[in-house]
Amino acid sequence: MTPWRRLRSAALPSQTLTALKMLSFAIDANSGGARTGVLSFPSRGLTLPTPALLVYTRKGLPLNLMPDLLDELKDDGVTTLQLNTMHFIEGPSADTVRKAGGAHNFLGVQDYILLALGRDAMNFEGGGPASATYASFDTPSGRRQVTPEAYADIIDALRPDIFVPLADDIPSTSGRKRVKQSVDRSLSWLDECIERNKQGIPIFGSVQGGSNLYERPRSAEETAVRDVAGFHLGGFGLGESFDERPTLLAAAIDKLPPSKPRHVSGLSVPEEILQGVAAGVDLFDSAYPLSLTLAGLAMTFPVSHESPEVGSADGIGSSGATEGEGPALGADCSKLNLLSLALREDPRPLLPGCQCYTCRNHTRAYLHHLLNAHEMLAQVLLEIHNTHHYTRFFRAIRQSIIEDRFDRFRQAFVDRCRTTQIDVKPMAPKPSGRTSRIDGVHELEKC
Amino acid sequence: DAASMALQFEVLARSGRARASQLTLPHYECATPMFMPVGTQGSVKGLTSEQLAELDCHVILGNTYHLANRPGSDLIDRMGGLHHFINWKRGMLTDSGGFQMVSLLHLADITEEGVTFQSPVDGRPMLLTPEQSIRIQNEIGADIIMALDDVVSSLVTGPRIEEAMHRTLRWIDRCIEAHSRSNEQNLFGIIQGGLDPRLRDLCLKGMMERDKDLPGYAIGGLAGGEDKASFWRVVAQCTAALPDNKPRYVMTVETGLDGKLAEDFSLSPPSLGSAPMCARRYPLDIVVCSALGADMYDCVYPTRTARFGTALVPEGTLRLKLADMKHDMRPIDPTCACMVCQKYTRAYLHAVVTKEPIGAYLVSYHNVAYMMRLTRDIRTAITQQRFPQYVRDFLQCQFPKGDIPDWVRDALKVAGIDV
Ligand SMILES: [Zn+2]
Ligand SMILES: [Zn+2]
Repeated sequence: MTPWRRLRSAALPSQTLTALKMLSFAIDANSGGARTGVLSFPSRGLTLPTPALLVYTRKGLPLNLMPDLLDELKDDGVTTLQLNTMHFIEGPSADTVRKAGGAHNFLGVQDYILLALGRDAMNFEGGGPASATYASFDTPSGRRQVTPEAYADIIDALRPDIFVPLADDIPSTSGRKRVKQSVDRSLSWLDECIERNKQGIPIFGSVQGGSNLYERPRSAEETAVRDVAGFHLGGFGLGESFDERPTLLAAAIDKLPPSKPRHVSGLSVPEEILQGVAAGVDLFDSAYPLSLTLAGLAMTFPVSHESPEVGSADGIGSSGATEGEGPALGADCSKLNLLSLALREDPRPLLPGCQCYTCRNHTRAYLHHLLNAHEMLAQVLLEIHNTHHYTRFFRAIRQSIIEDRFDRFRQAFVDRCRTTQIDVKPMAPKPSGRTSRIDGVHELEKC
Repeated sequence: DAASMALQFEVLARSGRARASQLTLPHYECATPMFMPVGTQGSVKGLTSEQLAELDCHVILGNTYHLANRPGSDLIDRMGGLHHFINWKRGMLTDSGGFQMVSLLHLADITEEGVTFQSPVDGRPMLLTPEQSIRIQNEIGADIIMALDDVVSSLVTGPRIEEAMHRTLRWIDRCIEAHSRSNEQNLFGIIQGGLDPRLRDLCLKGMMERDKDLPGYAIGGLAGGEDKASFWRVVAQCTAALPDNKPRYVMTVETGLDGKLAEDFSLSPPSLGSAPMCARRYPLDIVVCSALGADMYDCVYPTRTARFGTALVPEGTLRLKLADMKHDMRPIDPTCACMVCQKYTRAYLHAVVTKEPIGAYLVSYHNVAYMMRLTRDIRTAITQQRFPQYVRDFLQCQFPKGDIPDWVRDALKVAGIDV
């Protein structure tokens, strides 16, 4: 008998009741494998329509959005932040957060939903050294070994609305033995986290299994019988191909109860989000808005083929970027390269018709200037627009599911942006702490 | 001559030499004494226009030298002027560009014609004349523009100072002559003359002969390098002599001991002691100069020091990087009403300053809020006829041991405030 079986039975009864009070999930509509619903946190008076985007943070806050700017995005549906548990190992430490009464208070985000997990959506290779007792992670203070006990202690201090337990995330190229080990370890760590979850914070059990079509379902089944409020689909975006992913997603999701929410890390760009939604995923960690921001790019793809007023012909493909000078580097029908010289005097907003703060107030010419002059405001304004735009995309996805036309929505999107390549490799902020970026993009001054 | 003025200046209240006034610019009705954050290249370090307005900023500065380099004043003009280009609806001020050339480019040289320098873009020799400086500033379109002056470090002595003062007077005529938008933009003359009262006096007299063409004045040539006794005496001499019905702007040029810009010093954190003292006590300068009758101030210090993790507080500065901040659950300043102090502890800021961009944004925001509150409090104290008490309370906070520097006591005595 493996240790986790013992622990599971001990943990079950009281936890379920508490978790139920804290979180509930109702599905409103299905369209093929896609589904839309509402994740509710009754005791906090917060709800989250799904499928939804979780905003990427470092040390608890988005890189370039001060709380007032973040609040302005609320009307667009930005209500949920992804917290990286590992960013609270050293500074700020769990004890400091605990003294403040949890992450909501400490970060000044009392009315946001916080989901904590160990995986960094910007900077995660997977497969760091691990043993039966710890996993390794890159943190802002360097590489750290984390035991389930230490992890649970940080979670206890953060008091997030949801957390994903410590898991042994591995690259998809891992061999059969390593995959099995990862599945067993993750289950055992899940049990330990359940055991240590004194506050009854809802847990999303981490489903592993790499690219192995035997281990994926086994991990899903074993996770599903435990006392969890939902599921985290682990091990994605770690080397599997775009084409093999649907099979792997299905292998896990087929074994999960439809009534519980599913969350994934590692699916980032629009095509991947659509792939995840089609498979029945409800929550997405994506650093895509930030990756584009750090590259000086603005999201401009049409959020829906039925809304030509935004991102229509006047807007993007035929924008200044292509007039006379050939396509601007990194730009296509889905994004606009603000570093392009062709936008030097472009008086239009980033995306004509966009209602975000940046587009209501500023021109492409100004953004081009700010990037050129290495002014930090460039990143602030770009992150506002990109986050706003991506949440609109999620809203359009939800609408298409409600109207039971998600497959057409997805197909139209893919057809329209045929030239778009899945080429935006997330730019990883270096663990040393300084934000990394590509050429021409501002570097935070050295001290 | 009202026809050549694009501003109105009305003194609303006085306390000794200090005054609280309303300065009506083409784009905004400002209140002085006033602090103007520096938006060197068309943005104030990560803060949005909306945030700057919420912070109660009335005027922000643009640097002509940087803006002329990029995006270029012609482009700014075509984009509808700097206000429109950066979408800032309130007041703006641009400097002449000359000072930055002299201090940033080591190959700059001043002749009667203007400032010659090597283009930072392609190395070609370039010339900035008074006419060109004004033309560029006319294109940029700020509410207040500055005359091109002959800048020398306040540590330089001898005939060069006198030459610069006379040249500044000759150049002001060329600036006035070149100014093509006097109904929309206000040209300020700059008083030079180093630390020599006789030369300052000559410059003041000369400038005031052109008073009908000058809606306001700046006191220039004061740097971080000179001793504070000289600094306040120059300010006191100029504010006493300048016309009462026009705004007086104390320019911060922040040169260090070797005459180089404080920009260079700032590459190491101010906390290490390499920053000029004037910067570290900058709010004190504003209080003293306001007591002496000055109205307008600018400084990059509040936003720059924020990026190194230093916050401004009534007691002076708070270095958020220090280890004892790690578990400090208080806000930066418990008496500050700004968003950052309402939401964040020193402990959180300790973890993000100098590491995450958000740390720079948050501390910059607080520091600008601090400067705005400082000048607002000065105005209110003058209006409510309790300015001397305000100054004493301010000093009590900054120097709890009573070790107020002599220069502060001397300056305030001249201002009629006993400390
Ligand atoms: Zn926008
Ligand atoms: Zn504050």
